[in-house]
Amino acid sequence: MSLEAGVLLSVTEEPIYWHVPNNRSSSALPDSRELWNKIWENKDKVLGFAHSHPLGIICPSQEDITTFSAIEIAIGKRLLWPILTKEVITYWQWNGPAKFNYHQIYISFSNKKWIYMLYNVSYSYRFLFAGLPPL
Amino acid sequence: MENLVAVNTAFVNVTYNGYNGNLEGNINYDASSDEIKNWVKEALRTGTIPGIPAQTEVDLTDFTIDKFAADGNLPARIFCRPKATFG
Repeated sequence: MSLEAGVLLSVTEEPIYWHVPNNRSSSALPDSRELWNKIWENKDKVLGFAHSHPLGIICPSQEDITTFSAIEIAIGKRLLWPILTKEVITYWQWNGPAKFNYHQIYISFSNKKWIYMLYNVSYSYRFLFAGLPPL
Repeated sequence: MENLVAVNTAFVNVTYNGYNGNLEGNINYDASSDEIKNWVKEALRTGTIPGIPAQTEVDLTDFTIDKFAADGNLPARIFCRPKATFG
């Protein structure tokens, strides 16, 4: 069983908070006041929020994009929004000009540990023992 | 003098554009989310929320209203915050 999960990342590429709510599913992370509080509490050091798409879609959904925008409006700064599927990780960022104009950017993290950990909390436990896939 | 109509009131906390503050005065706890958003929007535009400077553009479209009833020593409170839903 694969389930969506997320992780709040710091500008130093370290996980700040793991978001694995009990009510998550393979296609959604329901609205979470707790997640919002963590973002707000860490607004000065947050780089972005990564989440997984177990169904394999590499692009942000409309739900994702409207959330990206609302959170950025609330904290007053732009964030990075990585999306992890079983096969690939993509990175998304607003580059305008319209409110919902989020585009893929190409970057590489020096610390990839959080990617593997997000993979493990999102996808079947067997991957813990079968080795991690290339990212 | 006794109030003829008892109104359940709450304070409203708002986070916007990197600032956080409480709406001046309490509002009716039973107000709808749309009503609360309209009051918050007006207060943000006019700069009447202590701690939040006046905002020229206000967009609360994808914000949500959280309500918490009075509980023990805590008064009723309402939070206007962005949704945090991912698909």
